[in-house]
Amino acid sequence: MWKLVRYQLRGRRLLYTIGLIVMAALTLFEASEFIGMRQNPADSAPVSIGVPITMAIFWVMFYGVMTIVNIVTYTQDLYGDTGYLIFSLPLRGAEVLGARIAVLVLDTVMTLLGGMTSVIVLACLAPGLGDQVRPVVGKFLLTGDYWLMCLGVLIVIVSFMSIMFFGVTFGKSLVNSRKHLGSVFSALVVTAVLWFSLKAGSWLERTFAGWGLYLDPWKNLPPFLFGGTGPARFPLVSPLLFVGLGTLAFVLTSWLMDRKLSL
Amino acid sequence: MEFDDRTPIYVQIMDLIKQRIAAGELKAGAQLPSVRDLAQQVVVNPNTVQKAYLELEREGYVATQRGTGTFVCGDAGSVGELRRRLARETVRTCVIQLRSLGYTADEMASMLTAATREEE
Amino acid sequence: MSMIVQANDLTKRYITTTALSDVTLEVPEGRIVGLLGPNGSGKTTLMKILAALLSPTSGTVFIDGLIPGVATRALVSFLPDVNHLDRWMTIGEAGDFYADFYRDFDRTRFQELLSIMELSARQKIGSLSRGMAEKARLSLVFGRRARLYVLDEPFGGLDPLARSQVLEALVANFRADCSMILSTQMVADVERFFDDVVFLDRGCVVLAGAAEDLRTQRGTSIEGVYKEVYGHVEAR
Repeated sequence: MWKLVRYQLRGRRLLYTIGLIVMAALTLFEASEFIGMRQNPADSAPVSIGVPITMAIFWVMFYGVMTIVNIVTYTQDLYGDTGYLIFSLPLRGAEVLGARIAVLVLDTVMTLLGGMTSVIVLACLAPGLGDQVRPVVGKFLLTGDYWLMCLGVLIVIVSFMSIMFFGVTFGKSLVNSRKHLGSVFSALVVTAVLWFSLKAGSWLERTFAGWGLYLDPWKNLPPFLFGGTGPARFPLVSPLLFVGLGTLAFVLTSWLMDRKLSL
Repeated sequence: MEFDDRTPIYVQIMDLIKQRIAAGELKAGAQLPSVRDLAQQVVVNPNTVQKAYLELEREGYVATQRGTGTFVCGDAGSVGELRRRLARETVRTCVIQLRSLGYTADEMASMLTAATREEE
Repeated sequence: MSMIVQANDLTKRYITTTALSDVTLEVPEGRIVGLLGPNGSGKTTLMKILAALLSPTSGTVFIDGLIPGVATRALVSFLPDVNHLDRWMTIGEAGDFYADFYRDFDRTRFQELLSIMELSARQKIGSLSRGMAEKARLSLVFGRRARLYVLDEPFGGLDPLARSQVLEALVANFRADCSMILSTQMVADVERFFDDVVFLDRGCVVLAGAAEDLRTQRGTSIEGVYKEVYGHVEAR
């Protein structure tokens, strides 16, 4: 499975490089705005909020593109000619799917690390900002709650993608080669599953109202970045349901690939 | 190599080898090319060559020694016999065809003499 | 003699059509089988089932005693009738890919085939002409020392010279412990390589047998038999 991961990553070299270049350019551009930042944070408050938000938006977009590429290339493999290469390999369905999930996780980790690097680079280039950021960097990176929150988000994203993969694969096994009909079925399936998880999730949250995760991931951030806002309640039960659905989707997709493949 | 796909190919390969034996190109005791080599030379399925060799062995023209190869059997007498038989078959076919075109025996004989002189 | 392919009453039904209907087929080792028939007769469907890319609706099929799946994909080398490679790969990289995933891939043999086909490992798949791409893919498929080679229209898009290069490679790579199933429209050029032929029509086997036997029985080439079989069928 890891060999397949390696090949898929190699195919994404171009996208990663573009992302890196754009990010570097953006960071430098923002840094140029920060060069004149004063030691007194009060002078620069209006500027400083926009920066991390711009960065965040960029990284979210980059992540979005990588994820869309992931699902689109999977669909192309399933419906198109390159599928004959991938699905002829002596790999189980779980391994083929697992390779894509692994790439998704790697993309997520990279996006996260990239985002943090941008902030650090920015802080190094803009001494005024750096003075504010430096004291909290070490503490922030050691905030367990933050990593727990990220892990939770990652698991939810992976589950969502599993459901998407299931939708695409299910659509294909139903209708063989007709791509548009298959896409319609896939969209229906995904919508149905998401609608169900929304309804069931809301009901679960109401029923188990006391259950939740009380985390404070922002406690070690500087005041201008949500710091000091206090612990927040994160839902627990509905994400668990969603993860359950995602796991089921993974299992079903692997089964479909092994038993009902129709290339 | 060209084959007539309407008749079994292994028969055509056998005929080719018999021709060579009769003409003296393949002498008694000479080794035939391996199945694989001949298949590659004439570009045909190796199984077909194998079948040809087996049939030739059954008819007594060659003998296979395991691990060594396939060798032409027979002595000068049987080679001569084969040569005569092939010649008779060729002439017979020719005579039948010319007769169907309406030629007499004398005309056939003079045509044969003239053709022989042309070929020299 | 072990059977590499054993298929019994193989059927593949879709919502609106039946691609294969009760196909029974046996391929012992060391045989080259020609799968013949007009477009839509079910040849590609049968080959995809053998390659474990498609699951049958009913019936059984065994490749070397195994049900088609992950294990048989390691035994079967499949050549689809479309370009299945990524256009950004070079021929050499495609070879590396095959070598990485298929244990039976023989790099030396692959290099030899490339030189017979007059191809360079540095060429990008996307830059190859149709015939060259076909030859590259054939080199990859035959670079594997598989138990069963399943080739869907391997001669499509090849000029006569390329065709004879491929046929020479086929003969040179023939081994007694493997078999080949190939479909082609160029019956006349290729029929001398078939040990056995199977004629399909609308998903059914209409005629099957050893090529030489059919030649003897019908007194004509396999192409002639083809015309008889399908001419007769069309008159229905």
